[in-house]
Amino acid sequence: MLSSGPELSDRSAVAPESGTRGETPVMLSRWSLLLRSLLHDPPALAGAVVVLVLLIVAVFGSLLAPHNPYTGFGNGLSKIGAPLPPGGRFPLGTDPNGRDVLSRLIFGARISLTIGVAANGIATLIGLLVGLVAGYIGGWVDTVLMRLTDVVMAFPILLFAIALIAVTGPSETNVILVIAFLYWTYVARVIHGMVLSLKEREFVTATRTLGISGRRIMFRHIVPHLVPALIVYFTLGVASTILIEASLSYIGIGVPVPIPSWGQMIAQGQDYYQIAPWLFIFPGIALVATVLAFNLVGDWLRDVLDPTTPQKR
Amino acid sequence: MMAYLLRRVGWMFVILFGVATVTFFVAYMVPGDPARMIAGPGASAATIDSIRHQLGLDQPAARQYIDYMGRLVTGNLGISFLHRVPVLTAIFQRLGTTVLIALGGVFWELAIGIPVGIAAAWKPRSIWDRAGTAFALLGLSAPPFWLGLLLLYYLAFQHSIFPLGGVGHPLLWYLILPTFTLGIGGAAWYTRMLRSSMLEILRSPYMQMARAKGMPSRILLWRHAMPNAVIPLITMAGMDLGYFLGGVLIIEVVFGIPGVGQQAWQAVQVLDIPMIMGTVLIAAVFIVLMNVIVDLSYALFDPRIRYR
Repeated sequence: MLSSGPELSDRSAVAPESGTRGETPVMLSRWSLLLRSLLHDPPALAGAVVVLVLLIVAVFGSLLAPHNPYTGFGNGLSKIGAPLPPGGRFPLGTDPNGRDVLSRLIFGARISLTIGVAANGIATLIGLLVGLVAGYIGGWVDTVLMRLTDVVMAFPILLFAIALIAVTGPSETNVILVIAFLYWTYVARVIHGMVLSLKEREFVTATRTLGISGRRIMFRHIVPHLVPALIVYFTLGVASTILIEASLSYIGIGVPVPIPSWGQMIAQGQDYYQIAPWLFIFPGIALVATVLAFNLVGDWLRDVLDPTTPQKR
Repeated sequence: MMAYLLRRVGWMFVILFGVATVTFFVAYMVPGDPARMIAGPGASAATIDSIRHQLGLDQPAARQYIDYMGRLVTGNLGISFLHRVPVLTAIFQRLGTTVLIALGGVFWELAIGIPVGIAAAWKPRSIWDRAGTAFALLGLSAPPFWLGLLLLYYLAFQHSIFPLGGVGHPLLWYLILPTFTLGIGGAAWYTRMLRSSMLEILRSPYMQMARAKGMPSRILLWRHAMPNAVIPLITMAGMDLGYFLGGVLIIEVVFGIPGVGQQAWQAVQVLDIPMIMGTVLIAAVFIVLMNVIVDLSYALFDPRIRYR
């Protein structure tokens, strides 16, 4: 699967139907078409800009943050030991430990994006494999895999995620694995449906007549048709996995403290809402902006890449 | 129809069996020793051993699995470490509150989602459509717990219109904010769904036909477009209800509501495994049951659907 990676990506850039290779001009015009459609869609453009800014903040956070997010500053608290309001040396104020809120927000972006992208990347990959194999092979393999999907889907996501992390112990890796474990089912269902219809198409029958192996048909001939849907699902999935991660951190079983995560910052700020409401308001705004941006980009990608994909919750 | 019903219910039991198996393995792989947790600190090794023996924890995994399944069939989900009462009893004691929250959440989903979705679809690209679409995007993107905190801050703390969480008298007053917070995400989702399905219906041939006959737009909308657009929404609301009944943990925690979810959260903090996994199992049962009920009710609501 991984070995065929580069080929996949260059085919997906070209229209999947054409299947021609090495036509650089065609690819370029596809990309410029994509860009042009983005420029004509202000909400999507805004979303894309926010996503880009977030990526930069997540990667270069340590250079951008004005302070160390873990340091409690002696002058970061008022005389009576209360958090400082926004302004001055601490642009967004300080938290009850005298730490800089802006710096913690910046480092929190890294946590949110890492978990969102990693958890959702794993989920998309598992979903692709399960949906592809179940749909293409069919028979009892299909029955077993799709009933397994039903079983995982029967669990309430947040409650089960909380239970699993409570049992396995909170850590960044466990949060990622648990979210991935609960999310692959959505991709698997959609891919399964798409593969069921794709495998009846003439080009698949034709390749099968040529005696090409099932594995090769799946990965070389069917997967390229799934790439647009996968991109859309991945983008929208990042939005919802970030929300789940924030909920877990808020509940207190996400990434362990003192690592700054937005959900945990909201939980801490909640205890000080009477004297320092900005503590829970700022991380919430960061969360909404992030999730909204991914949703906007995802919606736009769906319109551009794959108008027929059913909507996902 | 009968054959479909039997097959659907049959698969339901297969799924429930799978769900129970998964919960067993999760509970089984817990690193801590449940017997030690029940015995409490300072218990002698003999006491712990006897508890372990009573619970069957000294048996091999396969034996424990069979016993677990056997107990489940009789509705025995084990004893809560924390409350020292049967898990099922503890869940049912809290279920009433959670049912109210769940019903309230579904109410807001439909009460907001249906009118906004229809308004948006009726005049595409109008100011209503844009406002509705923006609402839907924001509603889908805002974390419910944060929305709940904002509402509490502005409407309960700063303006004292609503109580600051908890439950009291009159109950309805205490339920408005939590149910609204619970329903807003679904409302946003339904707005989107309804807008797109409504647009499709309004463009369909039978609608064009009705319009060509000169049918007044009021009848067109309410008599002919609405039923087809709203039925899928009602069934989705049914599934949401099943989902909510398992305890809306985060809403109950934010608003301090003594429901099934809050109880599960307390159990998580002391690693009360029978309580945690019992709640997960019951929640999954509600979800699976509601799915089946919704599937079957499709046949009643929508005469176009025929089951083989």
